[in-house]
Amino acid sequence: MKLVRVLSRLVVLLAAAGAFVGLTAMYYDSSPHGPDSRDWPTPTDFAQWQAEIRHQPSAPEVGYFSEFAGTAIILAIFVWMGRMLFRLRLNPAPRNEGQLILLGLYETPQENPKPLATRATAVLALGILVITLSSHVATLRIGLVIVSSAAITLFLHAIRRNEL
Amino acid sequence: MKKHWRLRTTFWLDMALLVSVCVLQTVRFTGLVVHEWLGLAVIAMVLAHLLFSWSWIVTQSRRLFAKQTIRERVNYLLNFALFLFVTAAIFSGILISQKAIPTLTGTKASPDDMNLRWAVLHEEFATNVLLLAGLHVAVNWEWLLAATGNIFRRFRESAL
Repeated sequence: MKLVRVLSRLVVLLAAAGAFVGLTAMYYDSSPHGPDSRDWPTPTDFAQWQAEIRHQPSAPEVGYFSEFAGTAIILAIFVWMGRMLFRLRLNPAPRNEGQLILLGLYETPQENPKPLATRATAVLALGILVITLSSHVATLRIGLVIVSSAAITLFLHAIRRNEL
Repeated sequence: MKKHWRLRTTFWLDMALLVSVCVLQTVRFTGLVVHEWLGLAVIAMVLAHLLFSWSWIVTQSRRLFAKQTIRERVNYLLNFALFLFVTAAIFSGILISQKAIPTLTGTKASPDDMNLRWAVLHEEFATNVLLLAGLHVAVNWEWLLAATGNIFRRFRESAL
């Protein structure tokens, strides 16, 4: 019974993957790639890349460990950026909703939460920095532009809330 | 005990997937043979990861058009996009395979026959997978910290 359940779930997942494969094939048919595309500045660059990708090494080369380390660092940056973005209050409750009116007679010192504007500024700065550093990778740039756009939105939201 | 087994399996599976995503980005480091076989192994790892998260997938898919917080919606869209790009990266990788798929199918592949358009797309999809995987980890950061603490605490207790 359990096996049937697992198999039926697998079938659903594979069907979804099949649909995605169809979408990928459609994308392939519709997108121009190669020397005519904007991704390839000159035919020389294209030829160089062509030679490199066609003759990749079969065996592992430990000398390129730094590439792996670099990728891990980029991943860590993405995680950090994501953490900063997702920790922000994306849908803050209205200020007066469900709050009691305090007279402040027994006020105790409280830790002030970090303003939204400060965090949004940090994310924005980080986004711009990473875009500058990785501007040679087209798709990475697109992804980072999306992240930075989200940061700009939060930044504007903070301005509207008079936190700046 | 059964719950802990499940947590431990999920945790190490997720760790293996995370390391694999990084390793697969560097073909020169792993070499083409390891790269391609690891890419095929990732199919099984991703399917297992999704099966372990099945209850979350079903719940969130049912609530897709109901009232949700922005965070939940972002998380769902992020996971959807990650699955899409992982599928696309694996599919394009299979199409340009030089070692693993020819071995499995008993055919011969020459580097000069490689479809370069698919090769370009494969690189693009892989880059997007890296970005989305980072954001996926960020969304599930609290779970990751809790699971790490739980697993290493039990490991220390059993060692004493």
